[in-house]
Amino acid sequence: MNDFRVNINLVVALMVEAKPFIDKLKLSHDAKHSTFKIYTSDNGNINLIVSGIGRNNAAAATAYLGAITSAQHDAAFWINAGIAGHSSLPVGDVVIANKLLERSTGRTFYPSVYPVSFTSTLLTTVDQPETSYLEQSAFDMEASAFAAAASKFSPLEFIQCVKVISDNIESGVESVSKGSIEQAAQTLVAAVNELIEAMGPDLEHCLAQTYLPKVFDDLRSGTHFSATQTVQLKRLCQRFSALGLEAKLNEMALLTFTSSKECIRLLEAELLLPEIGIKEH
Amino acid sequence: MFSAIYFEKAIKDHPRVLELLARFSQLPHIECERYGEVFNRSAQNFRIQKQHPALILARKHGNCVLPAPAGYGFEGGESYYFSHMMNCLYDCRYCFLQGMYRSAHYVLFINYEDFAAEIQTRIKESPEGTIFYSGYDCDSLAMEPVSHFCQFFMPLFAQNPHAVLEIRTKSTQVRDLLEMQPIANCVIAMSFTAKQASKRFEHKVPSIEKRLDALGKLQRAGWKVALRFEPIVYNSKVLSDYAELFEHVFSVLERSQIHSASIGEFRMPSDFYKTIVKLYPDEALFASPIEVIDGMASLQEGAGQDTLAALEAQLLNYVSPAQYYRCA
Repeated sequence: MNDFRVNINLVVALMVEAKPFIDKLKLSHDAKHSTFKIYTSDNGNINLIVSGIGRNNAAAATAYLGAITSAQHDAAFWINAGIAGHSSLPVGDVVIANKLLERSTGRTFYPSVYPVSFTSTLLTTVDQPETSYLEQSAFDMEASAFAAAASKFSPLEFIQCVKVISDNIESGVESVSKGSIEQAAQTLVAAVNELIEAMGPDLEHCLAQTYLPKVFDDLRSGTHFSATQTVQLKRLCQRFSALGLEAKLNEMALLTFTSSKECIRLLEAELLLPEIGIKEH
Repeated sequence: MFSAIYFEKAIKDHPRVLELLARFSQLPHIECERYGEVFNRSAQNFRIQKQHPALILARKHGNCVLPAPAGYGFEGGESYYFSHMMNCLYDCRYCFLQGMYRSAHYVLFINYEDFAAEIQTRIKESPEGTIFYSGYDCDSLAMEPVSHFCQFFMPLFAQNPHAVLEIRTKSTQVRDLLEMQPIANCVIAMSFTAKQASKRFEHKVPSIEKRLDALGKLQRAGWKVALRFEPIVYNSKVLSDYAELFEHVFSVLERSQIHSASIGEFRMPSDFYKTIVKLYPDEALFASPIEVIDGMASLQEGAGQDTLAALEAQLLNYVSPAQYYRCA
C-alpha cells in the first residue's frame, strides 16, 4: 500500500491566535516564505498560516498555503480557527460553523456537521467588526473567504471553521484585548484536535479515491506517456488493484514496453482475460 | 440517523417540518433558502458524505410527476414516476444515485399535497389506466418512520382504483402497511440480488431473509407483492446463485399471487458510471470490463444475453410468462 500523507492546514488571522498552536504542536517558522508567516511541523504534515484580518487576506493566505502544499499530500483538513463575536453565547464558548454567510454578498457555505462537543452555529463573515449582534449568529471577518479558497484544494467535507467567542452583546468588541484573545486561543487547540479526531474516520474514504499502486511510477517512467495516456494508465493500475491483481501488475511492470501505447494495450488485454472479473468471496 | 437537519426558510412553519424539527431537536437545525444550496454545491464528495448524511427538508416546485423511463416497469397504461425523496438510506455499490447526485444527503420534499395534485391530473388525463412508480430516486419505504409516505399516498390510490402504484423497495419497514387495509391497486415490489452479491454490494440493506419475511407478511395480509431481481451482477456462479435465490424466494411466497417478477442487468448512464468510478476506484465491480452502448454502461460479459436467458428460464419455472418481464 502507499504511504498516504495527510495534511492539517490551519488558517488563523492573528499571530496571537497562532501562538498556542505553534507552542502545543511544536511548529517551526518556515523562513522560505515572506508573503505570509507560515509555521510547519517537523514532518511537514501540519501547516499554519497567519493570514491577517479580513476576507481578502484570508482568501490570499488560504490560496497561498494551498498552492505550496497541495502537491505534498493525498488529503488535507483545512481549518480556520480564531475568535468570533456572538449575539448570545458567552465569551469563551467554542463554536463550529454549520453555515457560513458572507454578509456583503449573501454567499453561503455549508460545512459538513461532525459530532463534536461544542456548539454548532451560523457564522456570518462581516467586513467591519460587528457591534449590533442583531442576528442569532457568530460573527467573524475571514471564514467565508477561507472556505471559498480552501474548496479549491479539498472536498467541502474537510473544510471547517472553529471559533471561540471573544465578544457578545454584553461584552462588546471594545473589550477584546491581546490578553483575552491569547486566553481564548488556548481553548481552540483542544477544540481543533477534537474536530480532527471526528473527521479522521472519513479519511479512509478520501484516500481510497486517490490510491495508486506504487508500480504506477515505474510503468510511467519507462517511456513517455501523454496526459491522456497517464490518465489511462492510472485507471488501469487502479483496476488491477481493485481486482486483487497487484502482483500481476508488478510482474507486468518488469516487461520492456516499446511504447506507452503498447504498455496500455497489454495491460488492457490482461484485464480482458476471461478469468478476470468479480471473484467469489 | 442524520448528522443535521437543513430546511428551506419558506417552509419553516410547515407542519411536516415542525414535526421533524421537534423530533430531531438534538441535531443542528440549519436554515437555507433553497435545498440546492446544500445539495447541488460543487466540491462535495458523495463517498465521504455518505458516512454521515443529513436530512434536507424542501419544497418541490413543479415536475413532481414525470414520465417513467422507457422499459422501467410493467405494462398497463401510461407510466410515471414520482420521488418525494432523493437519495437512499442504503448504500448499494451498484446504485446509479451515487453518480447522479453530488450530495449523499437525503432530500425530503414535504409538499405531498402538490405531488397528489399532479398525480390526480395524470390520472384524469389517462382514464384507461396509469401506473405510478415510487422508489426511483430513493427507497420509499426505508424512511417511512420519518416521511410517513405510505400514510399519505396510500389513501390517494385507494380513491383512484384505475391507477396503479408500485413502491419499489429493499426495506422491511412494513408495519404501517400491515396496519392498513390492503389496497388492490398498490404493489410492493421488493428488489433482490443473489446472496453473494447482496452481501458484497448492498451495504446497510436488510438481509434477504428479512426482506422475504417482510414481503411474506405483506402477501399474507393481502397486499400485492412483486419481485425485482436486479441488478444482475455477472460472475462465474451467477446461475447457481440465482437458482438458490429463486428457490428461497418461492419457498416463502405464494407464486400464483405474485403480481409480477422482473430481471434486469447492471447498467447505468455512462456519465453516472464515470462519476462513480472516481468515487470508488477501489471497487472491483467497476474495475471489471465494462461496455458502453448508446450511452449506457453495463458489465461486459461475453455470454451476457445467454446468461440472462438462462436466468429467465430458471425464473419461469416459478412464475408464468404473464407475470414476467425483462427490465430494459
